[in-house]
Amino acid sequence: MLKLRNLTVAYGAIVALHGLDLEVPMAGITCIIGANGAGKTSLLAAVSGLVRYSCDEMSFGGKPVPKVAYRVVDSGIIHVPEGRQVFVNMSVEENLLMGAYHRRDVSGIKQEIEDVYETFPRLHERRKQMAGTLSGGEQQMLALGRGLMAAPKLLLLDEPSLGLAPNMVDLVFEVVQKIARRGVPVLLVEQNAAQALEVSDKAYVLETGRVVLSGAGRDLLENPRVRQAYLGIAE
Amino acid sequence: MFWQQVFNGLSAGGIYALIAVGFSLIYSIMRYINLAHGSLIMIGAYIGYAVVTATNFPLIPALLAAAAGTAIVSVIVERLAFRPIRVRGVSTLYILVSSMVVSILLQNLVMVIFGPSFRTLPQLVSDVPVVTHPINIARLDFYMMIVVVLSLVSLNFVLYRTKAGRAMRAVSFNPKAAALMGVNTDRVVSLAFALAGALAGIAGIFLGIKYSVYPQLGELILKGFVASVFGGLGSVAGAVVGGLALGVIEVFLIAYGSSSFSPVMIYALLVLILLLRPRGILGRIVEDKV
Amino acid sequence: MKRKRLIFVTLMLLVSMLFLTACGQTAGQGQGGAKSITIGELADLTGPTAVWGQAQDNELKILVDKWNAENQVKLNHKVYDYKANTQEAVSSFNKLADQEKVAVVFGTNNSNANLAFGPLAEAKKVPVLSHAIDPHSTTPAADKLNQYSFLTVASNIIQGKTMAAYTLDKLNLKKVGVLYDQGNSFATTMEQPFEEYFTGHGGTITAKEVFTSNDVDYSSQLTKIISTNPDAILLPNYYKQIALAAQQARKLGFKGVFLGHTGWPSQALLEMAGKDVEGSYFVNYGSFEDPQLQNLQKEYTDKYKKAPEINAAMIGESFAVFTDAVKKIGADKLAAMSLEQQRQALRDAFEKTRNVQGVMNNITIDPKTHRPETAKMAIITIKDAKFKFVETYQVK
Ligand SMILES: Nc1ncnc2c1ncn2[C@@H]1O[C@H](COP(=O)(O)OP(=O)(O)O)[C@@H](O)[C@H]1O
Ligand SMILES: [Mg+2]
Repeated sequence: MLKLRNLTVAYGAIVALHGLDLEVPMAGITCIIGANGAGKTSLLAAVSGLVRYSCDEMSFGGKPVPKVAYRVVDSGIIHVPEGRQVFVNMSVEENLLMGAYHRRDVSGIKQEIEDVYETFPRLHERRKQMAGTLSGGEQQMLALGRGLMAAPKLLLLDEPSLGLAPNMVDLVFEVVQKIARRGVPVLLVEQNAAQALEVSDKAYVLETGRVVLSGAGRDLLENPRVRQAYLGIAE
Repeated sequence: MFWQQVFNGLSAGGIYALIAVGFSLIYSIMRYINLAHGSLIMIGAYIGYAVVTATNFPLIPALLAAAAGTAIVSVIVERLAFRPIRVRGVSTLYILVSSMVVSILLQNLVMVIFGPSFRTLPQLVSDVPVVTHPINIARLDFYMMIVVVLSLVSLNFVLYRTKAGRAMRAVSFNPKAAALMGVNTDRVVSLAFALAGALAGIAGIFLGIKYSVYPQLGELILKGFVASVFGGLGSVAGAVVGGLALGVIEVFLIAYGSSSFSPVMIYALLVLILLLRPRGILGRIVEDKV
Repeated sequence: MKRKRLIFVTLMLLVSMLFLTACGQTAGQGQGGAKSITIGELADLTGPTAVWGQAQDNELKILVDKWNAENQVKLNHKVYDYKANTQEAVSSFNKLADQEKVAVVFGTNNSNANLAFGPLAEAKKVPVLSHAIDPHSTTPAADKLNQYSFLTVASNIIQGKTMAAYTLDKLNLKKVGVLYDQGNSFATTMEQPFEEYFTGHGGTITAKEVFTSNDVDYSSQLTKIISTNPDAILLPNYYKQIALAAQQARKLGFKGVFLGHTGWPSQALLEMAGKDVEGSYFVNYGSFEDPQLQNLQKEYTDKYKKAPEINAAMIGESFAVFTDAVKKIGADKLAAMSLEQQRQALRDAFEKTRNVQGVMNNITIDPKTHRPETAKMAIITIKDAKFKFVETYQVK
């Protein structure tokens, strides 16, 4: 379980998270929804050590989470950042190999790459191509695949469906569910609230740096406040 | 005379390439211009000079010693002068200034330790030419070409065939994403500076043998800079091509033009190339970072 | 903060008061009222020609100490390091003239530096005694004379002629190629009179190639020169450039003789390219093998534990001209003058230098050119990686 207590993140005078409590179980999909600027990215960035933060507790499987990004990776928390951030001037395969950077098991990496290609046949077709030449959807596949290459114990996904064509969005959600079914817990950040809540076992609603609601994904779908603010359905 | 001049050009160009490569390596990975690279080359020459006069090492151990010594200096320079600026994430302009200051500092440091006079490396390479007919190929130039090729091949191997090299390139494209893959960016940057330093050390020994050892030796970085712009700033292969091209063009302007106009011509040509191909001969398309 | 500013302002006031009172004195009164004349010196102490600059400065210190030991009126010696850099030379000259308030500036061996501060010497009316070789230092144009600049040693015109005559008459070489720094009048002003005299007396210049100051590789130019089969290559450059050119020419298979001028005599040249310059000939102001210079050499070596460069003897020539002028004016009288008067009196006296025995030559300064018009020069060869004095030679 990833456990956060009283997490605060500030950029100079701008406070992005105001003492947040959050728990991510070691199975299924946990999602965080919230408007633009609510602090979703800041939350993930704090966990993965990209930004500085203060908190009473940040633990993963009972152990404190390191504060430096490259050490967090060793603890098994893998962050697939917003906007894909693939290495544009490297081939697809090299991008995937970068995902496995912290791993030492050569045969495991080989197997992993086969698995990723199985999940994303498109990536296999384009494995020698520079990542910069892929379409947005393909780049998102690559970013997900690169995350999987790290053999994550917890996968943090920041808006994986952002800016994709509708059929691509469906594919992404399918893949996310597949990952969770395979036993990798996922913390999913989304603005696409409807679809996210649909697939989530647990959900949090974030507003201006505070958790305002939490509960099972299905229950929140029924919540009038969520329906109004995030699903655009007037009662 | 034609082929002799071609060889003269390649020999001068090999030196430019060696200078340009280390310089370009840092630019391609860090995206900043390290003006201290010339002084590192000068340090390499002095390390070579000190080691050889003290131990009488032959050429290869001397090269290794200079490469190792300069690599260490280069890493220290990055630690003390560039990292604090990089970590704060302020404009790379500060790094440019800092590198200029480091350059002057290193020059003065050497001036204090060794004095301003010219030093000559003991003869590391025999005078007997490799061939004298149809053209004269000095042994030193011949060895230098071999070492240039070897260092460039090994650099390419490191960058494109090893995990560390891949990490280096990843950091150059996107340091944040690289950190999310578990890359310790500080370590990778140190490694890049170590590699650039080693290349500077090797360049320093050859420059020292060819042109003697003196505190302003690093000013030749200007030619290396021109070479790397010529070939495409930030492209290691471009630095090699640019260096060799610069050497050959320079020589031919003198040989078949006039030596009084060649310095002007070479810069005119540079401007022309930049107008036609703003990224240089082999420059890669660099994505703008947001 | 406020406290600090107050202290700062007070300090500034104090400093400016000191300045004001200092300005009220006549030039010749140092602290304690002892009579003195302030002299300035520009020397390259840490730049690329520091080997020469240090020799110059070392010897001038000896000469000043000697003077101060023997005379009532003391010399107050201020030296600035101009690093063989033209900009530094100009700013150092300004400091000597305006802040140090020197009566005379002992200039440099660097022609470019002298050309740069020559106009300043005119404007500020500060007399300069240089031991550079560029005739332009005193006559910047054919019909123009710098009123305040003087040369005390053989100019490049004498050197070029002397070397050309010697090459034809004594070495019997008729075909010469030339390689020189086109941006340095140190080189160009020797090459011209050499070429004129040489071609005017039956010699041929087979090839003439140039480079720029920061170049270190001349293989291309040398390949071109060597392809014209010259008996000798004239290298009227600085020692580092000579060493590199000689090394590179030998690598390209050149077997002939190198010729040169006063850029040559430096131990550094022998260390860098000893065997490559074997058998070369060049002109110099003098030679330490010449018995005339034994004294200077001994004093210098005793004090500094190393052999002097010829620049030590050259500053000696300037100092001889200076002391002759001081004695003619009268040291006491000179020290009592205002700074402007001192400068003017020295300038006028320098112009009248006649038959002053210097360290090497008997110096007569031509009032029309402000430099000696004739001089006997030493011919030096390199044998067994050592400089060897051949003879003194004076062109007719
Ligand atoms: N690097 C930054 N510097 C300053 N403010 C930032 C930075 N990143 C985010 N913020 C601010 O923090 C708040 C939360 O941003 P973010 O975590 O990106 O929200 P979300 O991902 O939910 O859109 C916003 O007000 C945003 O403007
Ligand atoms: Mg966001």
